[in-house]
Amino acid sequence: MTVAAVITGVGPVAPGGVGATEFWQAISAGRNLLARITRFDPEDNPVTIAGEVSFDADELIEHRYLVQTDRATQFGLAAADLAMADAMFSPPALNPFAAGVITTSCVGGAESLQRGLGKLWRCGPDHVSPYQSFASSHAATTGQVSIRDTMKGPCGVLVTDEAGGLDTLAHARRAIRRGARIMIAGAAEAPLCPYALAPQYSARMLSESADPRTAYLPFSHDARGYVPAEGAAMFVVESAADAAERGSRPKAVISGHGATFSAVAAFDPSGEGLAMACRKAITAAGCRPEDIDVVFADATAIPTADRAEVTVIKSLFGTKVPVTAPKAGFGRAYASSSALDAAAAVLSLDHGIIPPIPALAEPIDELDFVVGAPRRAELRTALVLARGYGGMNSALVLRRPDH
Amino acid sequence: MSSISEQTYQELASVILQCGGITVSIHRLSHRGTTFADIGVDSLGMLAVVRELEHRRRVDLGATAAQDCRTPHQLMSRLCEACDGEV
Amino acid sequence: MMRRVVITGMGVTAPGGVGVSAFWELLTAGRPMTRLITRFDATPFRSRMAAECDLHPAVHGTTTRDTRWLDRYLQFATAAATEALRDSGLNAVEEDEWRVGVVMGTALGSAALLEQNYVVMSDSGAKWELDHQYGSPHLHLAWTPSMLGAEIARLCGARGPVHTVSSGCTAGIDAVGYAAQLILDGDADVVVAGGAEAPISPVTVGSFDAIRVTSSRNDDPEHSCRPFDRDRDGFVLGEGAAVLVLEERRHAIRRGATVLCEVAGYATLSSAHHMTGLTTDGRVLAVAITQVLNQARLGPTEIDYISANGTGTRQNDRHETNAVKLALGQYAYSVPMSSIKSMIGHALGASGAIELVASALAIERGAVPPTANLMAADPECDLDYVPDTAREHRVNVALSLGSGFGGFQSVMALRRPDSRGVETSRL
Repeated sequence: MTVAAVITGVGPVAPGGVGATEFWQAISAGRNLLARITRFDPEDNPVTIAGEVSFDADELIEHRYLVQTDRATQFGLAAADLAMADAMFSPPALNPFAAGVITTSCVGGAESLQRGLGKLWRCGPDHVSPYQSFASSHAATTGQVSIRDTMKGPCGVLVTDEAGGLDTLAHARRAIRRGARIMIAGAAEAPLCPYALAPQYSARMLSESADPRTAYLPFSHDARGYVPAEGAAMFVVESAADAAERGSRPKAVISGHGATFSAVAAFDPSGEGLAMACRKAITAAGCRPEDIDVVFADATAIPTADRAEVTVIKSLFGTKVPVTAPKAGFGRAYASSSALDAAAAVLSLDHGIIPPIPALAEPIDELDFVVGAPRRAELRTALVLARGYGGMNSALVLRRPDH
Repeated sequence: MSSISEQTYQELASVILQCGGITVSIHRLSHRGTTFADIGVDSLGMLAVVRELEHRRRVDLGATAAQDCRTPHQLMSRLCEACDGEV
Repeated sequence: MMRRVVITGMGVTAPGGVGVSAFWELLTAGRPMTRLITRFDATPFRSRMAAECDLHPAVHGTTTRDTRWLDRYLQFATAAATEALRDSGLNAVEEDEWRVGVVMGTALGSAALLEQNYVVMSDSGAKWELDHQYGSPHLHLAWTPSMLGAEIARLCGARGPVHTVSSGCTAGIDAVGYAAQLILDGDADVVVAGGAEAPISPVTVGSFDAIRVTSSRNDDPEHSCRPFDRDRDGFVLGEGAAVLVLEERRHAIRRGATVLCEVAGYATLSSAHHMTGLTTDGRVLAVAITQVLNQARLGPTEIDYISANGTGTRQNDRHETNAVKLALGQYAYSVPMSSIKSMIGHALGASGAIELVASALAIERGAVPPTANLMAADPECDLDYVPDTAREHRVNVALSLGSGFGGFQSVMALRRPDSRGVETSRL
């Protein structure tokens, strides 16, 4: 008998919303929160539009952590706080060795690394900060959360591109099944600095549109790539029995996960790997394709990738299942994009409402896209899809706890 | 050794805030018995504080200053020596 | 029936040579490979030494594309993976590709290649807004460490879970541990796992300089890395890669593979204490060791060899010594424990995997590698560190320890395969 792992707390930090309430308000209203980049001067960049988080780090992060952390880790620390508050859990855990942290990101502390590189190359080795060796590390968020909240249990750091948010939830479930009592899991990403963006331009995946209203239009004939975003989403994952014992209400069950690889770099047009990830996740969840009530799509807005995703959804579920992509309103936050999708799916199951794609005038296919306004629905099971730039695919089935 | 002015401790307090994220009063800082550990400045924080003071004053406090100086008083005395008493 | 995880192939790229044979020869000779850095002009830095690989990529399975576009760490990984796959005799065509996974560890990914490009794009640090058109046209292949998993997956035709682990200095051991979990949980039958790192670049050297964790014995590079020695003054950077082929035991038996050893247990915990500092008592690492022994159903006295993290920093070696004493009690004094970092330096996210290969070889070949440069032991480090020369010693169970920034403490136990239906040795 395997242990059921449940999500008892959600902590999103996203453009348009810090915390579950604000985030839900923003996405259920289908607001477009994209705008011209202000984190640096994007004048000479091909990409000028992004989803930025409005975030008062001074207010949310204890100063001793602030001075030694990258913006990504600050998002992660805040998101972990929000998730734990949502789960009515205040650290330290009764047994710190049964409480762990697992996080993911694509670019780690890229902005801190750029700052360190600048100091080194402009001023010399004596100007490199003592915090440099770990502030820019991909491992910093897991480390700092575990230190701040005294979590000595299983820890981990994954890098699986945009699929990371889903893979960490699966990893947290592994830890719970191996005896951990409570896991903080999720993604944190702050890629809106020149050092993190510049290497991506040669791949030509990012939207170069200068108009926030039309820059990111997944599944549309006008799709022209995705808009980058920053943000985080952390979750509190526990065994169902522990959640019940703490009197914490489970918001969703992590029901099934599948991860595959497409050997073709950057979004396999055949969609074969994504389809297999879906089948693995659905089988693992012990359900059938017709049990899926809503699909949170990866929605890259890269025409071949959108086409592949539509084909996968159609072939597995037909055209009746509602499909949404709230990220079209705030951008694709790399590893955090799938974590924020999972957060949206949990909130969606909880509210019985599907948040919409803000705008989609002429879809490329006849799927049941939820567009413009939220849709009330009887939701028991949600499927979240994610594909990584390097070829990783991931699918996650979440269920409402009473089903 | 010359005495250490309040202004110097003021500067140290601002460096500790900037590099360690810790707010500490001048009163506490200038008390001879106060250690950096008491205030919450750890080994990394000490390296950052020493480095920042060195850059601000353009002096060399020695390779082991961060380890050697356990108290603000010791660090300020060393700074004082390094600046030929003109602190 | 319980799934079990065995190792059926290994490959390694380390300072001193490419391939398991060269590696084992170096280790048993006890020859330090640390030298003054040649990768770049390290004159302005406090620590100017490293153990570097002299790799000729074309000889070891890498293509022109790899050498031109990809960072050095991917070339190391490719060479190690090619050897490991050959060693395992795995035939990708006969495998269900969806049941083959990859988990690779790295701390820094393509940091060195990115730094070179940064210097050009920023006009040597003068600009915050970068002139991206001066960057390499293939820079997107470097921007995230997940490329490591993807590269190796393409090499071995894996289409199951393909993940990169980036938990800093324990990433190599954590990648192999995660790979074992994927097999145990039924998510894959074969997982190619390991670690790769090429950290010898100005920003990495500079950031370790800033916290004085690397050795500054620049006048004597060969004897600079001195784990457990009284006069140790920090670690020395290394580079390289190691790859292991992990399989579900019955899968390995069915295809007639040679089983090198079994993964008997794995744990990774966080000391939740400090990003770079360690508690002297080593308690969390001790708990991790105990968890691994419990998983493996082994008593402390069944351990025959400990591959130490043994970085050669003041803190680490005492922390680790105390952790082993705490976990094993009086028996700690009887078990040989050595640090191969004394010879090949600290290759960060690759170290854990390289040290697992050393542990597996100790099991296979009945000898334990030494700790080089141990001239006068620190009175607080009083265990049997196998000074200077390798020792013949039958090893049934080896424990590999890792400890890194962020407070991560990782431990894995490897065990000699039992003989029921399995070829036990290829000696």
